[in-house]
Amino acid sequence: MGDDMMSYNGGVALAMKGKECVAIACDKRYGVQNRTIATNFTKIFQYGDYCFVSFCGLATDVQTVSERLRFRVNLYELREQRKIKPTVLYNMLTNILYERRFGPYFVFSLVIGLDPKTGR
Amino acid sequence: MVESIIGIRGKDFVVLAQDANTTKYGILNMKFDTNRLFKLSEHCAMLAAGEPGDVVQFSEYVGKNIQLYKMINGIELSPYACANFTRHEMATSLRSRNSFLANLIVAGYSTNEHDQQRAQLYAIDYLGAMVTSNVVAHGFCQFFALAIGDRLWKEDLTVQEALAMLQTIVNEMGKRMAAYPHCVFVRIIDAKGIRVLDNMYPEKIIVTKPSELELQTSADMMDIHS
Repeated sequence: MGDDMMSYNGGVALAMKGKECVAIACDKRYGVQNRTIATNFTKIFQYGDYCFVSFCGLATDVQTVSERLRFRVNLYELREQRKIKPTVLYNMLTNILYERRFGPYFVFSLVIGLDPKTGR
Repeated sequence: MVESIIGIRGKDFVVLAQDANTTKYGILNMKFDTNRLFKLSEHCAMLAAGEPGDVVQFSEYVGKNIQLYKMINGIELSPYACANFTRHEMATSLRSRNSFLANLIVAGYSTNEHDQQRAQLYAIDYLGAMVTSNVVAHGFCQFFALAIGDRLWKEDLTVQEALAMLQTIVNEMGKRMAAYPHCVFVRIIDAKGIRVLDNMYPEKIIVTKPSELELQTSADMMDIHS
């Protein structure tokens, strides 16, 4: 059942870490089962100068989770008056996803970033 | 799935088309002048198709809330805001007691001069996934509309070209869909607002009569009377 949801819209994302650099890539297809509807549906979202998150899975949850995360990150930046770090973003995301432990969002996420102080 | 809604975006206009049938039990054609367009603001409208009750309930709910925003705040929401609000409502209702089986197209012309893309077109499916494109469609006509759109859409599309593309799509639907669209209502949204254009009808199909040769069987060719 869960697998059906994941392959309803489809999507692929790949992330890689190198020496003082990270890269993330995704496809731009928005499709419904075997039909391709649009080719401008990017699945990578930027939160802060050096943080990217990619969501793959059910398209509606991709958009809902990215908007929710954007909301929490905006509040964080307003309160803390600084840009969010990758580890903090990661913790925020796990919290958002676990809120729906019994009724989950059908997304797989990749968080990637460069810590501005250590460069890792 | 049987109802068709199509949107085509041009340089500074959006053409919206919907078939005007309502079918029942898969076979009966109840009504051929059904309106599926719901006005959200002066320059923004929504086409909705799907479960009949859900369509009306959801569209009226969204439409009235957008009008309420205008009454409270004194300004109209942009098409982008209308579409995002609609998507949010659809996504929230998905995991609640009342989910709506309605596919939507939200289209509008932005009155904000700073927008680069003035004509805006969004498709929202019943799960709440929103996408923006030059040609959008929902229902079985999606197969035809998107393919014809890939072929015929180009930058700086004029109104005449968009309507010609739409006529091609309607002809194809008339030829290939068992649920024949007797009539297609067409509207346009541009700087002047929402206007209704002439109805579109699928082209009549002329089929050649079967030839007399097919009526002959091998028994006829045997001469039994001599």
